[in-house]
Amino acid sequence: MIFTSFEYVAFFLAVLGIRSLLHSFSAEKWFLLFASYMFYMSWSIPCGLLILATSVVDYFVGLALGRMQHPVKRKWLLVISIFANLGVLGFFKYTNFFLTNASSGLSLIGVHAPRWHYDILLPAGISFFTFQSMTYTIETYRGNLKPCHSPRDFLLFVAFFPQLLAGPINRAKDLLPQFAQRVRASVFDFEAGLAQFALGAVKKLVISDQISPHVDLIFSNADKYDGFTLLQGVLGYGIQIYCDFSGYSDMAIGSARMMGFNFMENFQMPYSSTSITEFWRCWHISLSSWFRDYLYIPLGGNRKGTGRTYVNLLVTMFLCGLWHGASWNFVFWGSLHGIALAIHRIWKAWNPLASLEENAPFQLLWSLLSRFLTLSVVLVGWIFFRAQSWGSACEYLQHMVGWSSQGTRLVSPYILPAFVTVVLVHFFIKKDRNWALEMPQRSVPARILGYTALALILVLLAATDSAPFIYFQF
Amino acid sequence: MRSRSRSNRRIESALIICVVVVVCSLSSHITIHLLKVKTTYSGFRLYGGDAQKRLAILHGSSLAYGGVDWAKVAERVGCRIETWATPGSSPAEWEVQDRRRSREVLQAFIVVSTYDLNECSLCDFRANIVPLGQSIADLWQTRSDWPFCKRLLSEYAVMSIRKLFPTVGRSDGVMTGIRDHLHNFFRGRRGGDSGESVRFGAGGVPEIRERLSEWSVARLQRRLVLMRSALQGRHTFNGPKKMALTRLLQRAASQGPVTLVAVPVSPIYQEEFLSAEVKANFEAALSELQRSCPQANVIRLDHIPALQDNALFSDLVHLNVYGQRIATALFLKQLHTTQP
Repeated sequence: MIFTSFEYVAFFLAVLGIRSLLHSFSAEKWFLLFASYMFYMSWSIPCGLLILATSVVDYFVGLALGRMQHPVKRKWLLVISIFANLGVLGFFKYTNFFLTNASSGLSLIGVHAPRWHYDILLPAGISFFTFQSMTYTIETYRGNLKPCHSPRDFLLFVAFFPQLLAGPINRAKDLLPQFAQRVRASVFDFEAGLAQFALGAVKKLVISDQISPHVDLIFSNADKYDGFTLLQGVLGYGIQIYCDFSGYSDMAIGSARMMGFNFMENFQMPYSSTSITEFWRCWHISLSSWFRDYLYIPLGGNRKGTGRTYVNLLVTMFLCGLWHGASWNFVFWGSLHGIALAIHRIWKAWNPLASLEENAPFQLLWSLLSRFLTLSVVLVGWIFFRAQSWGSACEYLQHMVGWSSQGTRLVSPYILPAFVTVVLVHFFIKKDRNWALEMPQRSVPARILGYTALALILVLLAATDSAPFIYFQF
Repeated sequence: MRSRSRSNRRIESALIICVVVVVCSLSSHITIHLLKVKTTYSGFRLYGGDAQKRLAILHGSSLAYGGVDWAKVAERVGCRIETWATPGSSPAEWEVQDRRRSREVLQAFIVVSTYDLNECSLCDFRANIVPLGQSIADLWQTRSDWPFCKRLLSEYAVMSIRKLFPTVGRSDGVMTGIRDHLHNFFRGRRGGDSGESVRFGAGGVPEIRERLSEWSVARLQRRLVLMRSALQGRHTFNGPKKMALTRLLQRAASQGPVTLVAVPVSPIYQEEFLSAEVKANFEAALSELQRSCPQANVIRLDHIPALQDNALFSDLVHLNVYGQRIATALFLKQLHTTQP
């Protein structure tokens, strides 16, 4: 049941309708919990039991953390929770990756090992709900959050359907209190939520889904195309993944807002960033801030000297890459971003152009150049993110950078217009603006105009068959 | 006071939604009209149109009425041949159209291919033709998987939405229409990419002279992308279409001679989409159909080596006029040898 399906629309309308008929707050929460599990179990019933199991562990760990004062015992409780969550994640997501690499490693040292491989179904959204659940036990351990005594509220916090499959990874301290008091969407909230949902649908159905067959074609036969076509492929993938994931996030946030719940924003015009550090403040914000708060800072952040800061950055981004997928491509992608973050930090500390910073023409030029450089690093990273293997990514990059004239030139009617549109929107709209929240405050004619434009784009140009969201595979 | 302001806000929002829906609906209808996007499925063709002659029926998609010169076939069998010319149609639609026909026919021709019979290739007008109950029953009986059921049943939701917004799910038509209009506007002539040079010869038989072998690689790749996306990269032959074809064959056989013709698709299409397993599945499906209706006369134009040439196709699946000439001659020859 993906957000762009009729099935979801029918499900969501039914949830809204039934919820509005329930007078008891408790019944309302039980109903939302039931609906959330129904939503998830439409994929797989055993996977629903898996969420239930990890949630139960974290619920009891949270309760015990509330009672326990002994620091060592508290630490052990936290270890149990982290072990349970990361153990489940590791088993389902990384077993085959580690086995394959172990087998290759043994072969390298001359030991003949069989090629181990198990058919393990990856539960949808496992990387998201385990991380979200961990925010609860970590914050409770730190004493920033009181334990949740209601099992129903806790189960709902982990499994609440709009954020279950691909985030945003909400923090327990933000979302749990919203289940403690009855919330109803105001007309303003409903309008803003609907606008954000529609905006997400446009990003997904009109841009991402229209581009994706062309991008797939280029990446699947990279050796057949010339450099220009390969450049289009990577530009297209950059736009596709942004519109796919930010579209998904908009639909998740919009769905929640239509019910009166507030989720954190996940994207803020990342492609207009002037540095890779800024990019990570604007791209998949709920994940990047998770890694910052629960990995980078606990590792020491930038408090333990310059060298350690770089190591912490590299370790954090290495694991961020591994979080995305069990493949060396993702590890390299994460490490590339880690190196870029470290280089940016070195540059900032050195800052040889400090004397020119007051010069207006230089500022303009520098701003353009830094945006171009940041975008280039991000796009090169996407090649490794998208390619099927390390070898094919290197080959792709080599042909593209070498501007190979051999091969077919394919000019996609979708990729370049979509790229120009998205880049212009990124450059001319401020990062902190939220169109969906601004629109309901405007005059009636402005709202009619804005919503009509959005609906028309959807009605005229939406793809016929929607592809699954890219981030579902993570 | 507060509740009054909330009430005003509600009325305002409802008003905005109504205006947006009305404007979008009007714009969608106007776009369909201006860009001439095809939204109707009803078409009718008659070959060998002498009212005194006996009636034969042709069930097939554009692959059928483009692949064989049916005027010549009508002349050969001494019948008028009627066909519903529904673009992209398949046995599921033909069966319903056949049931709606009031007159008895003496002979039936049913034309299929790996493209038509592929369950993943859905006709844009399926929901308009096949009743929802029939689709549900067929899906149930064929034990179709849930993603396919959802895809097929979504067509009915789309059909309902299209009453208000006829452009929904027709973005390809809209984009092509816009592109053609832009070509006309800037160049004063039609763009070469989207249009096949279609002429109608004697008897309303389309004469498409374009050759797939002359397509640029880029154009071919674009078309393959669209095709792969529409078919979701899959070919299966064991679902509602096959069930409908079985019923159609049996009904036709009970009324008179029936000829099942398998027409070829281009070698490029075969290389791209038809693996050995897919081909074997298609053969198995045809064998099963033959067993379920042994009276049917089966003619396999798709097995004829002379038609395995991209120069004989106007696109990935349609024979051009050169291919049609060869196919017609071979068809008539086989018809002659297999029919009294």
